[in-house]
Amino acid sequence: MAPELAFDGVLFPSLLPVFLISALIFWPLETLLTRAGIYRWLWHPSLARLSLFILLFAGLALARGFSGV
Amino acid sequence: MSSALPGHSIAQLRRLAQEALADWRSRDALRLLFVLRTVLAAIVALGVSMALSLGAPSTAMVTVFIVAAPRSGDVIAKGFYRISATLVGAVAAVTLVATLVEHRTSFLVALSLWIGLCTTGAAYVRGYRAYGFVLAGYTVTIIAVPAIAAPDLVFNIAVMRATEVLVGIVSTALIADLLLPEYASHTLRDAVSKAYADLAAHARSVASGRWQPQQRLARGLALAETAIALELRREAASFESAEIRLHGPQLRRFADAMSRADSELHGWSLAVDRLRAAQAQTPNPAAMTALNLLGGLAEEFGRLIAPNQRLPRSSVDAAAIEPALAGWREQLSERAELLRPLVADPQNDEASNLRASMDFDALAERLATLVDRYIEFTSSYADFTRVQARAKGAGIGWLPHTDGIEAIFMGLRGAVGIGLMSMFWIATDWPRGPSALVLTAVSCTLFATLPQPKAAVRGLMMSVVLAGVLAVVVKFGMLPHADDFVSMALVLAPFLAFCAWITVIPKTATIGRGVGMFFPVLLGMQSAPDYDLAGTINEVLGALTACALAIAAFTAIVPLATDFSGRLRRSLWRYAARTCDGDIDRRRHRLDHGVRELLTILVGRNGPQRPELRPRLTACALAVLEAGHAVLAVREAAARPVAAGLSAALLEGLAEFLADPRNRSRARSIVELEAQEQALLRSQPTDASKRGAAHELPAALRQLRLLLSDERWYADLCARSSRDAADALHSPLAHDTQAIGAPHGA
Repeated sequence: MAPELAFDGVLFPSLLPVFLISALIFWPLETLLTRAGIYRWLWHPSLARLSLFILLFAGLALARGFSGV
Repeated sequence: MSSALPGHSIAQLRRLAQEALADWRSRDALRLLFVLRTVLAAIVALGVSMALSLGAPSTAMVTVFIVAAPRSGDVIAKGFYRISATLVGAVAAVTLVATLVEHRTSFLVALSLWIGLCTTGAAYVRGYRAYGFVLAGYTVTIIAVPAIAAPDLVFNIAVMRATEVLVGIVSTALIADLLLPEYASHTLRDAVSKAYADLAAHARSVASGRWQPQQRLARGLALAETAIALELRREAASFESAEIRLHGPQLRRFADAMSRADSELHGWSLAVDRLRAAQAQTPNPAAMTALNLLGGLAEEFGRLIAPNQRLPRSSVDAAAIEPALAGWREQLSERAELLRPLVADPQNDEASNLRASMDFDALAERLATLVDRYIEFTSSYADFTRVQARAKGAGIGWLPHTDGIEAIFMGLRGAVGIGLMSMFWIATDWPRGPSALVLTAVSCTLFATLPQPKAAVRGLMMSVVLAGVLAVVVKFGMLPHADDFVSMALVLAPFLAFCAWITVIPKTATIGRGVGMFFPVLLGMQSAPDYDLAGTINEVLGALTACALAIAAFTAIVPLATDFSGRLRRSLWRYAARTCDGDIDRRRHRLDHGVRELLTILVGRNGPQRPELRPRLTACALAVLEAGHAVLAVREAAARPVAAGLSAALLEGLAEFLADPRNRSRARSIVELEAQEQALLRSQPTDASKRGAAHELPAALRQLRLLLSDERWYADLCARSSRDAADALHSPLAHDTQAIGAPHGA
């Protein structure tokens, strides 16, 4: 995986699109979990939310790294 | 007996201790936590910027102070708008420098225009969004002005600024959301239940007849403040979790139902009051009976609102009283019909009896509508306990109303301030010009939309001085002794804690925000610090000069255009006048929402520049609501199939009067109303004991005529000073909403 993406001569970290995609997946996922009432059973909802996002982001980034795209 | 005393006092002591602990927890513990989190976030932001060797760690620290708030929802909301606006501003700055940097004059003109545009935009939105607009404006100055000397660097400056801001936001948001978080959604829940309990208490005192019309202004302002606070808290809390986003439509519905129920309570209480006043002038025993009978019904209603003298405290309580209210409402019309024959007094003449039963009908109708609205309000609150209620449609919410001309003038003021400073800079070739220009942009735009911009800028000057003193002490007395990051953090922590602490105390909050903004800047935290005392003092002087120029811009340049209360009053009148034609339901909707929107402006950030006008304009708004509803009631009665219809001239005359009540058409409208009422009564069988649809129109006309002849109402409508306008209150909530609504920071 290339460390940086060039866009019209401006370099962006290649993790940026992965981050944006994770955010796009995370948003509806969180709404679904809230609808199901999951967060009511958790001790620290914000921590759970953050951990979920990190799992998602890290998972996607690793998957992307392995697939070599 | 003696053994009971110590036991008693121990229980008492324990209760006192518990109360004190609860009080401490609810106030001081929150503040201490806030200070702790802010200091930690500032040090983390500083550490991260230094570890990543970013150019200006001060920006990250300033960001921490700007987005820091006691509740995590507020931090995330403000952080979101701050980073979005910074990105927009960065793009605009790069574009501006890339195209116009060769021509300094047109560059500065374009800069002023952009700032004016953003300030105008800020007047159209509320809360954190307004802050976003303002920030998008002056971020351009922060990035583009330093780049004038070195245009090649503009892209680097923009990236650096955005990165620093992001570092500050992320560290503050993570710490606020993870370290012993306080959630805005909890405050929102409390605010909703308080709003319900407030209106329930108000409804109870209205229904029991204890409520005084003099309290109407206080109530009108309190309601608007509650609505603004609910909306701002909802916005912040919806950044916290999906929970509030899912509840959003319900909250809107609740706020809608609240304002409608309040309108009806207001209308009912003043209609009763007017009839009482009419009794004092020309006593009519039958009318007195009507008032007493309906008063008895209203009292029953009041007892249902608070069963066993206890106001509902939660949505579960509200759900419990809903069936009782609905059952009572079902019987109401029947019971009114049964009571109706009691109104007529055998010793009275026919006409007086007829008038009394017309009053009875009109008031009974009002009471029924009032109970309907109250049931709607209660069920909108009870819906929070019901999952399936989410499917119901959203309410309209309280859309902000902005006067376009006023917004443009605000933008103009921001643009003129920047233009002035630019000319000063070009003319004097002042070396501190760029940083002074940045600061002028900040003070002109941040404060341009505030009701008291000059006072705000003066507060800013005080914070510059205080921050300067602190920065000199720390930078030249203490930091040189710190040799690694840990010792530096330990040196900074008490000062950062001081800044955070004065921010959270309401009295010093404005100055505190300013100190939080300037202390890190004047400290000049860099990877390689420069210990230049003269430079720091120069920086302070430059900041003070920029503030003085901003004040000059507010005082000397556009002072005449700052009072828009006349326009506000005219837009209120227009709402009343428009009820005289068009679709009845649509007009009622527009009236309720439009006037309430304008009312929120009165208490909100973009209120009139002269605060003493607030109570008068509030009174005017309430009088407009009353007039509009009375006109609509007449038109509704006239639209019934049996009704004889209204003369078009009457409605035209009314529209003309309401569009500008200061003209002379008031007496003419009253005479016309009476003539029409009498004509209708003459042309129809006058049987006072039977309630006929034919009597509805004359009854509605009579209510409208009584309203128009009411001198207090007329004084309110014209927004003239009246004795009770002086007792409009400044509730503590007013400061609260201002603190939330007013954008702070750089």
